[in-house]
Amino acid sequence: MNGFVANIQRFCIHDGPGIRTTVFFQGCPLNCWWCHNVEFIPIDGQTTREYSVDSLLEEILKDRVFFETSEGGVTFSGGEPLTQPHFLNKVLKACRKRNIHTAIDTSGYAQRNIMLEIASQANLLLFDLKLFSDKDHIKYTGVSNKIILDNLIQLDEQNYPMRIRIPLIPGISDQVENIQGIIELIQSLKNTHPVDILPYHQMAEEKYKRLEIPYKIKGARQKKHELQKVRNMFKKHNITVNI
Amino acid sequence: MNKRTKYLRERSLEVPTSISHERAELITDFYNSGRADGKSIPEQRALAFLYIMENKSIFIDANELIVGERGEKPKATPTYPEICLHSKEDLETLDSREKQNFAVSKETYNIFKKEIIPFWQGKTMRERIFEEMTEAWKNAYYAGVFTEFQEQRAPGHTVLGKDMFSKGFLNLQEEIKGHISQLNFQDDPNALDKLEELRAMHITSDAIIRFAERHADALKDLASLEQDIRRKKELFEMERICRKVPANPPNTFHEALQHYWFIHQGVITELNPWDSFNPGRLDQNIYPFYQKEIRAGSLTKERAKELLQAFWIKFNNHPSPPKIGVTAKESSTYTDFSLINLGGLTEEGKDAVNELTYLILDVIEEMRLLQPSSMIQLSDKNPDDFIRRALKIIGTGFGQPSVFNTDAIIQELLRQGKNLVDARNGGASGCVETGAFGKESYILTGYFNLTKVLEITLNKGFDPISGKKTGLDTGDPAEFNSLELLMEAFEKQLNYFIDIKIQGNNIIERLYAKYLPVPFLSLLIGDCIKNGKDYNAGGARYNSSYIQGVGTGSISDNLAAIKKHVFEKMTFSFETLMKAMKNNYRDYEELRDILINKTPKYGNDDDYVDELTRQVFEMFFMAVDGRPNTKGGHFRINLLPTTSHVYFGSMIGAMPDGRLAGEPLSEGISPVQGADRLGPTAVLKSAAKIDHIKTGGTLLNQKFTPGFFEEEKGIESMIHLIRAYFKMNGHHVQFNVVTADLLKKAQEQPEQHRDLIVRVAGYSDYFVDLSPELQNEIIRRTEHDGV
Repeated sequence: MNGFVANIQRFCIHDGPGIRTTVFFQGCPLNCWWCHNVEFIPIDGQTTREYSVDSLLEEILKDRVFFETSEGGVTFSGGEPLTQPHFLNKVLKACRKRNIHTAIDTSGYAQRNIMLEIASQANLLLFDLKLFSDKDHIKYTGVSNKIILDNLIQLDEQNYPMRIRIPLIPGISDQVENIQGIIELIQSLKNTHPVDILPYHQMAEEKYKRLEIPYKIKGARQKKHELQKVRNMFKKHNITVNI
Repeated sequence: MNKRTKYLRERSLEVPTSISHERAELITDFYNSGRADGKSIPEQRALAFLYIMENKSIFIDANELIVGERGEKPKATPTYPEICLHSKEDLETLDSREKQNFAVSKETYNIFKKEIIPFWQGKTMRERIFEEMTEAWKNAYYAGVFTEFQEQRAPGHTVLGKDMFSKGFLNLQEEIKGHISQLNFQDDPNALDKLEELRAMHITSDAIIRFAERHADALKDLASLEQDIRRKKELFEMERICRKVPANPPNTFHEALQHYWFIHQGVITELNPWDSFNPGRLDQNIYPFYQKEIRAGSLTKERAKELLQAFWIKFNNHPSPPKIGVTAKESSTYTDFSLINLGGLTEEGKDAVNELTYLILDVIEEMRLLQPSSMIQLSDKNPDDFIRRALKIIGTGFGQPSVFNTDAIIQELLRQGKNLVDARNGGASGCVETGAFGKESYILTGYFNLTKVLEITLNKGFDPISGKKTGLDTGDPAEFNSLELLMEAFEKQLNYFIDIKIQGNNIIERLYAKYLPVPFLSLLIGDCIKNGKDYNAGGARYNSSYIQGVGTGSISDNLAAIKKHVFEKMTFSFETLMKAMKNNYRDYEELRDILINKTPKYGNDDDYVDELTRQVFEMFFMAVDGRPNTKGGHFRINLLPTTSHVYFGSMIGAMPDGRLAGEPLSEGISPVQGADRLGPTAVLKSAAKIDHIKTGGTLLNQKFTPGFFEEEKGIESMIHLIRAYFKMNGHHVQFNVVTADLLKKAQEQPEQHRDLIVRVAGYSDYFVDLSPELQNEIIRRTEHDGV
């Protein structure tokens, strides 16, 4: 059983605790307007490489000494790692055997049994919450958020460790109604999960240009005070967020 | 920073660097006067030193707290004609060159012409060295295979140990007398040599005491005339201190700093040793004084800081002595490599970080000066808080402090045969050089160009630049059918040049031992007094001679390119590759693209190439390590370049890694500029594959953008990165934290960026003072980080 990996990036410090290696899986069922890794969305890409479980593990283990000193590990991202569930599952098991901390960076868009199976093997989930309104979710990501929210509630119900990550896209996900909805959702959960806000930066714009893909939110900028406004909204509800 | 410190700092920054002819004139007078006649060489040298210390001008600035200048004013830099005599043309070069300029006055030109040049011509160490070297040595030297450290500057490369902070020179004179009285002229054939050396040491102690007294006298005058009561009291206190130290051991914090500073003046006036001199483990050596006085209430933290800042300024007032020729190229900087060590372990093996460590870190951050250099020693036992504080300073982007692995340094010293206490009291000096502080003479003898050796091997013993036969004919690589054969040929060639270098070193060591002993420096380093033997002759407890390998990344990438494309994939033939190189890749752009982009490169944690790095390292180690020097010690290796990677690169044509003719080599054990593409963990992994413990220091440069240091997670990750590298026995790592944009601006408008300090290689320098080649190289290094 082989997996299709778009890129492996070492020394990642924003995808979970400590120093991490992030494995970007190729392929994603979503098509977010702002996607930073737009080249990882199709099933096959220019940089895609096929890995066996062992060969991927070998790559991951290269930075083991850094994982150990920093209490870091590996993060599976993408694309959407859950699009290759069997391979991912095997890799997670292999990492567990070697005591490597694992995190899954997911859109949450996956069959429930797959989601729960993967969650049971991983140490941490980085769960993306983008848009509360289903209509908007379909518009900006191409898929409904029903499955996603359902998965979130199930994972919470079963007490899986999670961080909730909210990409703040100007004019799209940073709107008051959306943040309000997300806050209510978070408050309705059984457990308290750390919340990360991912501010928008226009680095992807260049990439779209290079790849000759139209960038639908060209010129979008995030102002500091808007970020502060969102932070305050969370604060009012006693939710601490990391930016 | 208070007003006084600000004034002194500004003054130190603004005053132009100049040549002082005073020392050269005094030493010429001395030898002309007949005072040296009939005396042994050590005594001649000692009397010359006494004459200089008795007659050189005394400079005390209006606001100073620590006194003593090598020249007649700050940054007035003497010359040492007994080693290197500057001709009129040399003076003109120094006076007019753009970088590392030294202003030369009319008077200086005149005195050189009338007195100094006529007297010293034909008598200098530099001339003697070149006379004694063989044709083979000269061929290799002029081809850029190696450099020679001692052709313009004396051996030194050492650091004051902690013992001297509890001793005065009167104590040393007692020791000397004791040893003289025990000399055994019946059974010891060297007794007379010892007597002469010990007498010389005694004379130099008088000289330094005399020098301090002259400051005391000057301070008394200043105090008596001073109107401001506060300053008046201060000047009288300084007078008192100068009458006490360094004749007697210091008791207060201020006395300890002034004590060291007189010693420093002595070392850098006696001769011009490389890496000037260094108080070493400063936070350890002066901590007892600090602690005692803080407890007693006679010193406040603020005053301690002010005194340390005054001390810092003294270092900055003393640029490296003027260098010319190859020496100027290999070490193209004003920095004179006093490297303050902080942290590490106590001699009992405990965490040595103390309150003073943090206070000194504050001083480093506030002063932001080129000199002294600073570093932290980080042991597994030191708290994260210590490295965190240092990283905050590193993040401000002036390249200081650098970070060293105490636990590796101790292992390195133990491997070389030092005892555990001496190892724990040791550290790193200069750029990255391991030493047993206060007990060891560890001389760097010259940089060694590993890539040039490969170039000569590829050309069957010829240097393609000069067309001269410079090396051995080790066979035609076109006929080799495997990399192993090429490696064998390279090893033969390497051994050939190392033999030449070592033969030269052994002669040069003896020349210094016989003709330029340093009785003053010998007082300071154990066990020279006990052995009755000069520092330059093997009097120290430990004696090491180093050859510094340069271009680890370059040599690795070159071999990997040949291995992959000529021997394995047969992408092209050896002849085609040689032709392309000869053409400097003109009309071979595609081939060059393959070499650059489709070839494994050192720095990416790729065993394919890192294994070659390891092999070359072992070859170099085997060729040098453990061979006897003339001082009862051994030759060792370390891997650092200062600026020689630029010079060495200028002496090499295009190479198989795709590097064009004349471009710089990689520096230290860092990857070739821009070749590392997988981030810092991969670089550290590659760098850790060589056995650092077998060296006396390695140098690794890492670049980060300033943004990285702005967030807490960035700093925390940096701590882990360093800890992990040190767990793998990495010796040292340093950080350049500036954006390429800023550097480009500074290149365009140097006058607006005079204060921009960057990390070069084992030291920091003003960016605008670097050669354009080096500036571009640093921009390239930095740009890569931004990707």
